[in-house]
Amino acid sequence: MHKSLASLMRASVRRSRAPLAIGLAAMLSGCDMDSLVRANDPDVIAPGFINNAAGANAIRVGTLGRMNAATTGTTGGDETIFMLGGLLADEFTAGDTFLQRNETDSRSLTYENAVVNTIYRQMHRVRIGAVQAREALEQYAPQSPAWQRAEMYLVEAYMITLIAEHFCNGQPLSYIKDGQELYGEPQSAAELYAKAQQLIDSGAALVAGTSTAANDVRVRNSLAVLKGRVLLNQGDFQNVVAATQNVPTSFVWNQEHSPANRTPVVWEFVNSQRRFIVSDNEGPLGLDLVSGNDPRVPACVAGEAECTAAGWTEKRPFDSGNLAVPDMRYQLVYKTNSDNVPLFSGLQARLYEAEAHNRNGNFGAALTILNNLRASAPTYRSVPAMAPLTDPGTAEGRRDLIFREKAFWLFGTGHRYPDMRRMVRQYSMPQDQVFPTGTWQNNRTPGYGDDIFFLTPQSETKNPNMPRDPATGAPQCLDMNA
Amino acid sequence: MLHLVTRAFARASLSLVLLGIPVLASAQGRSGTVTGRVFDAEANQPIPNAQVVVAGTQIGTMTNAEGQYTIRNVPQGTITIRALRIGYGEATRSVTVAGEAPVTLDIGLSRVAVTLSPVVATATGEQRRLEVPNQISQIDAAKAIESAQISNVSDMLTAKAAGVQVLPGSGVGAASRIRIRGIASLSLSNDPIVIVDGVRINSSSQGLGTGGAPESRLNDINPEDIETIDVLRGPSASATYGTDAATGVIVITTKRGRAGPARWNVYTEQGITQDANEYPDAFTAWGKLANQTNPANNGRAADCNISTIAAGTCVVDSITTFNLWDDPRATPLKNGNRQQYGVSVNGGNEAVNYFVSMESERTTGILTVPQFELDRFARQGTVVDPAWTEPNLQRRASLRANLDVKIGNNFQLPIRSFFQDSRLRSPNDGNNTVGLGSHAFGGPGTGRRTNAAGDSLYGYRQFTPGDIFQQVTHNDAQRYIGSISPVWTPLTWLQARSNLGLDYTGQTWENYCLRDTCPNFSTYRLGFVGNQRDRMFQYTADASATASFRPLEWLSTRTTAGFQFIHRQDDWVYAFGEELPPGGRTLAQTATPSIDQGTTVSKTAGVFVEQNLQVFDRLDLVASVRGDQNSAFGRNFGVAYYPRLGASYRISEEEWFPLRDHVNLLRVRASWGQAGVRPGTTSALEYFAGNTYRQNAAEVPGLIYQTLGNALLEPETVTESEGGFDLGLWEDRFTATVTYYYKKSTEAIINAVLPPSLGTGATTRAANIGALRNLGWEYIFSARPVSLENISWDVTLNGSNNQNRLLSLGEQTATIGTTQWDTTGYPVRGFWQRPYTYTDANGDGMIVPAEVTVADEAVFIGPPQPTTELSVQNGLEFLQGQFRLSALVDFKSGHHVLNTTSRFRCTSRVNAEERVSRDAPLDLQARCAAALKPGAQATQFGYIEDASYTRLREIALTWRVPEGLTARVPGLRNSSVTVAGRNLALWSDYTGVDPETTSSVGETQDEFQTTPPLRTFTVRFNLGF
Repeated sequence: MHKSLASLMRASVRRSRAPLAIGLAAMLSGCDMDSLVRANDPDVIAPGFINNAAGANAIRVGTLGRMNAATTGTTGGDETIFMLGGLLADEFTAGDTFLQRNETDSRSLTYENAVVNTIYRQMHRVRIGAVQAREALEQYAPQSPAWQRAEMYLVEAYMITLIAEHFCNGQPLSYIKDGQELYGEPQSAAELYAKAQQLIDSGAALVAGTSTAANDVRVRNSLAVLKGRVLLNQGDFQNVVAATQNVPTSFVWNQEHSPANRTPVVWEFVNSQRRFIVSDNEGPLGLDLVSGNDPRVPACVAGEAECTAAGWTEKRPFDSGNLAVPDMRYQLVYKTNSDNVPLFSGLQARLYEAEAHNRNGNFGAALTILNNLRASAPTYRSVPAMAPLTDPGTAEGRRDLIFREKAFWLFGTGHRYPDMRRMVRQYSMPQDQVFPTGTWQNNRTPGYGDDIFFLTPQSETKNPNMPRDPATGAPQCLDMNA
Repeated sequence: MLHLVTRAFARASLSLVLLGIPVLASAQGRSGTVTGRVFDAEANQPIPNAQVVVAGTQIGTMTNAEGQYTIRNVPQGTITIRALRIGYGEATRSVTVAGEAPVTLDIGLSRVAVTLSPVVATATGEQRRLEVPNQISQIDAAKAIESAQISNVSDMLTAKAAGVQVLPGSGVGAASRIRIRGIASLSLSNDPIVIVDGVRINSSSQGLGTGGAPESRLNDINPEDIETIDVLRGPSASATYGTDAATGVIVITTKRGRAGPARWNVYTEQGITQDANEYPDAFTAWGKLANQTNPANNGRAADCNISTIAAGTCVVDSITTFNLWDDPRATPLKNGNRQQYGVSVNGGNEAVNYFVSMESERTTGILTVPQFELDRFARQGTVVDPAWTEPNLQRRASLRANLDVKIGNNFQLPIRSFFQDSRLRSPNDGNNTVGLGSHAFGGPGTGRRTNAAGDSLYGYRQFTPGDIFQQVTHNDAQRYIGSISPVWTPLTWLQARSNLGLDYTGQTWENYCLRDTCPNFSTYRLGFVGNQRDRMFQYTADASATASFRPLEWLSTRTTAGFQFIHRQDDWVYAFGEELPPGGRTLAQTATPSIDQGTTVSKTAGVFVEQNLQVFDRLDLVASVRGDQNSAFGRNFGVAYYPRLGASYRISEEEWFPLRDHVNLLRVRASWGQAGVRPGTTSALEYFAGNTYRQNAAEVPGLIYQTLGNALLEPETVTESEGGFDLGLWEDRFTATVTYYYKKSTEAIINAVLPPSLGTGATTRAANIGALRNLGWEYIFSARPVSLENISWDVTLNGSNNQNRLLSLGEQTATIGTTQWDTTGYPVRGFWQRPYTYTDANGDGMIVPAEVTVADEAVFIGPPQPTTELSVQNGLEFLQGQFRLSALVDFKSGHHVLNTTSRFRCTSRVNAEERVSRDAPLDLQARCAAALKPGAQATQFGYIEDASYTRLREIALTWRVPEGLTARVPGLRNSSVTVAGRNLALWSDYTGVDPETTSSVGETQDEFQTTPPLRTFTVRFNLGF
């Protein structure tokens, strides 16, 4: 049996000698191994698969998701520009041990700050996504509703505005075209705001008119609100009211959240994770966000009835490490993991107008706006009627009143920090009278530094057009002015 | 150019094979049979499992249990028979085969000190060690198990092979980091690939989200099943393994059956695991506030520290210390235990041999719920789940069946089949938000503080082990590795081999907190479940043919050509849900389930040809080339070619060699080769990924741009040269092996950081722009200084050094991390930091940040990987071999570790002596103060420490029960008892707990609030029937 099998095999090798030789020769000559190693990875969505109308719309939706993650929402890991700005300002205090957050809270930022880097990158991702979506809509879905392209103009302009508001003067805007990198040159804040206005105007032209379709109205009003914000940044107070006056106070474009997607970032990092603490007289000139007992920013400390009723009982911030970190102060504006957070609203429009009126010498009009809001808050804020304000009588008092009102109305929505920076830049206030200063937290060493904006992250030096400090190799800002 | 040359070589070699076939076929004549016995020349005992081959042909066999062999189909004429067996020097005998009548040839072998197999496994089949132009390390598994406490393959490799660095994992079931000849790749995996019985297996490590070290699939392989482990250190030896082989190849050969009656081996191992480390005391300075900005705060009780004491803002009343690790009610430490039971049987006849083994193992770790927490649970009426008190538990059961079927005289069919069921429960013991280390290392210097609920924290910072270990993480894996490896020798000069294999792992990873359990962090106490199901396939299909002939009296040739195809695919689905109902534990019961999914695919196809020439039976030359295509290569890149050249010259076999009475071997060797490291599976591709946006109370799917890709992406090419010599004196009573290597990675893939302003989802893009190199010496000295009837002593010294340098980052600027940089001219991931000086300016005995001056420029401190390693293995046999005492001392130096635990205890936990007490040495106070300087002025220089150490790694005493005693038990053939220990003593100046502590198996040793490697003691009983 064995013998016959062996004989069979011996015979077969003689017969197969030629095919064997041919086969080996073919393999060694580099035959079509490509097909043999072709891999199908379902995770990969190649651009070629989405060059159609549905793909273009999907990029638009994805960009909105990224915008949510850059501003109001989180999956729990990364905070957003709203949180980080609030940390540098007087809205939030660092509660945990992360150096990056402590650097920000104590105004002692470094170029290597990984959290800042992540958020900076995230905003540019949103911006690039908006450009890609708009171009895809124009190319593959020319019949799509105009508001979709207008919405992407809005998103791009919004990200450029946030970058200019938060980072030092001299930010590049790079692009990707046909899979190739187009590296941007550093642009001044003025250039960025001008770019934002251009985009806003392009978007507004697409939704101009009187259409009452919900999306047309949402995008049109949002563009108007953003235009007012950019005008404030540009110091063009004269044109703010004209830009925003048609936006009804009741208007709001909410960002929606859920634990299955993204939770509200303020709720997540303050209440749920206890990594951030609501500030109270931070630095020590900061807002009395907790002790002020203002109904627009309901807040409490552990042990108080409101906190207990809301289920927030832990006294200490998470991972605080030592008693130099203040006890927890919880916010109750965003009470659950599914609360909406307003991104653009009529409330913002009114407050922009109030500031513009005051700068234009009409504090009366500003006061009227403020008191109207106090008397009847927009329904989505659920704020009871508040006592009217009176004219402080001085320019400084009026200025402070307006910014205070903005801060309480717009808590946690990315307004406080840009306003504080503008107080220095446009109102000539010394930074120590605006930003927290002196002893940091409970006598925690080393105390506050003197940073008033975010530095361009170290990783941007990979942009060949980004100038570097010859001494440190860090990205160089055009100037270090507010 | 190189591609053209290698391609031409491939074709020429193939032609040689094909042209040689008819010539040699016609040269075939009649054949005969050689039979005989292989025996121990000193003891005159049979040697089973010895290889007996006809030199210069593919013909051979193995001896059976009685040492007998029979080789059929032997060419007639005068031939050379060679016998080889691990632990013995090889022997060659000439014999003349004249007719069909069997010729008898008995061969005696002499024992040698170095217990290495005389053959090594390579990509082109087994080869005689002395003919391979490389120094291939080999580990004799049976010997390793007898000489040490071995729990897994990583233990077997630790400090056993020069140039192979193993950083053990922390905890039961934790993965080890294995690096061979330094870091060869800057951005890709530096793990060696693993081949088991010719089949590529999954040896990856995967994190379980516990903050501790990940689990390794390499350790699934049962050490008891292993015959030998060969380590091919780099491309000069591994080129024919092609893409992925640049970081080394570990070739595992499992046991096979021997002809003869069934021989049973039954064993059990019982032992304990323990943590014998010294943990730091926590300090608290109790005091009162003073000189406060708000005078109302003056006099308030507060914890002081050196900064506030020195500033006069806090006045100390007293300082207390507490060490929860040492406190009997607070400590989370306990002794674990290890139980292992196994049985194997092997036997067979001339046609079929079998080896079948079964093993069951249960090992528990050193962590548990401390007594004060058990008391709390009792007070609260909480029923304690055993998973809480035993948070680190590994249970494994494996079954192996190896069959070797011989069909006729020229066809062998080895069949290998392995199944394992593995269940690993891992504790939250590392740098995890709610991990044990975070709270055990971070607590105050008192055991009397309580949490908000009034429960004692007993020295823990915020969360206590009872709550922490309520979070259960486990991974249940079922793995099958199977292969058939037919070997067909149709002609005496031609052999064809193939390996067809499958490695499949199905695993379920689960992490959950039941409602109202676990630390009160985020939404944990609402309950959650995370569940991941993985299917990991790895297919191997290869075939090759080897033609051997002797065209001239002084020349032998061996030509091999073949192909290989490897397909790896991992599919996973991960689901997570929060808010469980009371008693609920499944995803379906959660209020908010969500799902994720992913796939990783990699395919490699390669062809290779290897030409060996042997001149005058002592000069061996080898040339080979392999061409690979891989699914991860860029679409514009073609085939990667990996050539290899080598030469080995046994000078001592020259007739003119003058010292033959003393020198039994002097061999010089040199080799050069290239191998690759494939890019990430999707690194070459431009693509979008999915995302969602919540709109009108529903999730809407969208797309987000991920990465630019790189159509030109090619594998990293690692070129290695090595050379050295092997020396054997006085019949191998003393041996020396010295090797120098130079390994350079070109077209090294750098994950080049993309500027954020580009807006890509990926933060980096892979590009072949870098270069790095490793060089160093490896040396192995072994001796048997004493070899008497009653006592013998053998000693082996394994040593190596490595110098790693990053040569180029292309156009990229240096990657500057907080403490580790990749910058040209320095080691990869080198530690850099700004140094500082300090002075106690006011003489108050305290150093505060203002008294520390930090330099403007960072300086290079040292590499993260050891540059020098040395291990000394001693074996002492006495009472006629009845007892064997072995010990392994392991020394490593030249590397640094960032002692993050201590830095954190200074800067954040404020419980380190150097932060709290003025009695702390000023240099320690200074490193703390330097880390506390504001923002960019802070430096961690003082916490990047020399991590050199000497460790008594293994010690074992084996008693081989004398035959006189075993004979009293019917059927008992042999028996032994081994008492062994691992990680028994440590000598180091490192100020942390243990310089080998890590929670990572990457290039950076992550010493951050993680428990160190375990100490293990075992007693093992072996019974052979």
